[in-house]
This record gives sequence, structure tokens and C-alpha cells, in this order.
Amino acid sequence: MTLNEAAKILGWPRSEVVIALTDGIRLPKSGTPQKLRGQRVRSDWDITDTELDDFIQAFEAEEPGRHSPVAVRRELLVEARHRCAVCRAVAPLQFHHILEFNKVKHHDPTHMLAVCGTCHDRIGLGEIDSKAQRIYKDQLARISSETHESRLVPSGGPLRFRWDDLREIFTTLGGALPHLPTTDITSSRYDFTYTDIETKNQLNALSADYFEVIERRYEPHFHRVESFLKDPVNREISELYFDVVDELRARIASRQTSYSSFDDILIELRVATQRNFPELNRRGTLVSLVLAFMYANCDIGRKSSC
Amino acid sequence: MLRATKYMDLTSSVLGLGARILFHLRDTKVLPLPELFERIVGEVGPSARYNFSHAASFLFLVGRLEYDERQDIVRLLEPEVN
Repeated sequence: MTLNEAAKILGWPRSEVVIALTDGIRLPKSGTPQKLRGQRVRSDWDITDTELDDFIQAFEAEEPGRHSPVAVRRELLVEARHRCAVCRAVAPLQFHHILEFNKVKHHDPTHMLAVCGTCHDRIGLGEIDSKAQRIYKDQLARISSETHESRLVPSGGPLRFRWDDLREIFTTLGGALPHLPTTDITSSRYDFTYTDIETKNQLNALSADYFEVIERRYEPHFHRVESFLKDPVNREISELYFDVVDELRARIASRQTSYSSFDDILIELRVATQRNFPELNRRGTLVSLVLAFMYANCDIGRKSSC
Repeated sequence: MLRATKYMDLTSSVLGLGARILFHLRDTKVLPLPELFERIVGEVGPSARYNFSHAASFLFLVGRLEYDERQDIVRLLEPEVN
């Protein structure tokens, strides 16, 4: 695993992991510096599960029950979809025992939760009792059974579409909007600024899960959408596309702060499209593709922190 | 039509095709319009069909192209230097 991945598993900042790799971290009781083993690979590191487990085990030996092994942590992270099980924040996560470790004497993921530092503190203060913790745990199981992807990607086999399908979508959505004067310099037509996708995902709090869906499911089709928009034959339709983007930008800007992540915005947009344009219901996947294209090409979503 | 938008394909844009028209007329100065059209479409692809006439009109407007309707030819005009 890379440095960032190890930081996720440990729930530590990246800088702390670098110190662990280079100088070592003092163990909580003995004060002995404990180094994390790993191989330097160019500007990153390659750390095996065993190396990370050895490192964690040294801490566990001094503080039994507080440092769960890598496999348990990974299972809990996946179960919580790498978000806090309570507040759903994308933050460094800690691993809480719903049943006290002294009772079970081992790290059993069925009785543990991945939570952020704030929620872990609230649990410690008794604000979230063990029954509530169990309810949060059950909710995670339900989310897993629905699978996140099924909410993001409507079912329906491989993604196939023709230019006529794109025409139908942009004509339907754009036709319902007032056409902005093309001289409006604030229009998305004339916005050529891009942000690298990693920064953009951070600015918009897009989850790694959703980005993976975008990359795997939709990105292979982006070039076809782009070719469609670039072909002069579709100039009028591409004008409608920009109208739709301008409208979405305005709506997203007014509400983005009330959403915890851009995943929710994209899901909400798809649902709203299907609700308001029932004629596009059979094009659900294509609508998702178009929204993902808009996001990935910096047409919608924050591109800077200001 | 002339102003670039985010998803404008520069090759088949009015200015892009205009540049190609000038290039093809640079040596011969004169070409039959159908031949010029076929050359440009052959190079750029079918998407050139849409903007070819706009590009030719643009060059006519800025005084670089002249069309002889009787012979169906286009002629390159040298820019006026003041």
C-alpha cells in the first residue's frame, strides 16, 4: 500500500506516517521509538500489510485493545465506506469497540465501528450510547446490502448510447431553460479553467467510492460526449448543454454548503431529473454519465477554494 | 460563430478552416470552389462541411478571398498594406 493508504488505515495524518517511516514513533508506555518498515518507491512508499501489522502490534502490546490489526481496520473502513459511521464525515477514522475489549478480548469487527475523532470523543462522553452505536452499525449493514453503487448507477447492463440519445437529453433539459445571451462572459461556454481531479475531489468532498465509479463506469465514454459537443453539426445542441450547465451551476452554488459531499449532489440531480423529466427515465444511466462528464470536465463543482 | 467556446473543435472551427483555405490557395492563388471544398473536407473530415461556407464568407468579409460566380472559382487576394 502507498503512504496515503497506510495513513487511512492508521487514521493518522500523512506527515505522522512519514515520521513513523523515517524516525519512528515513541511507544506509549516504554517510550521506545518504533519504526514502520517500508520500501521507498520514487516519491512514495510501498508498505505491506505485514509491515503495518508489525508496527501496530508493537503499540497493541503496550496498550491491549486499542490498536486493531490491519485486516479488521480495513473491514470496518469498507463497511462504513471510508466515512464516519455516525456523522458520515470523510475524516481520519478511529476504530471503536461497541463491546468493551476487556469483555471480548479480541478485535471483533462485528462489535466495532469506524468513527471520526469527534464522534469517538462523543461516544467517550456518553453522548452516543451503546444501543445507538448498535443502530449505527445496523445502518451500515443496510447500506452495504443496497450497495453504494446501486444508488449511483441505475441498473441496466452495459452502457450503450448513440448521439441521438445525447440529443434527446440535452434537448429535453436545455429546452426547459431560458437561453442565455451568448455574450454573457460568466457563462460556462467561456470558462476554460480546469483543476486537477485530485484537488477537485477534495474541494468538493467527492468520495473515493464515487470517483471510482466515475472512472470505471463513465470515463471510458467521456470522449464520445466530448466529440458530440465538439462537432459543429451539434452546435445548437451544445448551446443547450451550456445552458444546462449554467443552470446547474447556479443551483449547486446556492445549496452546495448544505450537502456533505458532491456524491449527494450528483445523486440528487439525477433523481430530480428523473422526477421532473419522466420522459428521460429510461435514460437514467446516460443522465448519470452526463453529470459525471460535467463534473470531471470542470463544468460543475468547485474548482478553487475561494 | 467566431468566439471560442469550451467545447469548440478548433480544427473544424471557422478560423481553423479559414487558415486551411488560405494555405491551399497560397501557391496556386486560384482554385475551383468544389475542389477547394473537397480538399478541406478530405483533410478535416465531414465535420468541415458545416463551417466551410462560414469560413469562406469570413475570408471574403476581411478581403482575402474573391469568388468568381461565372467560373465557380475562388481567388486569393493579397492583404492591403497601408
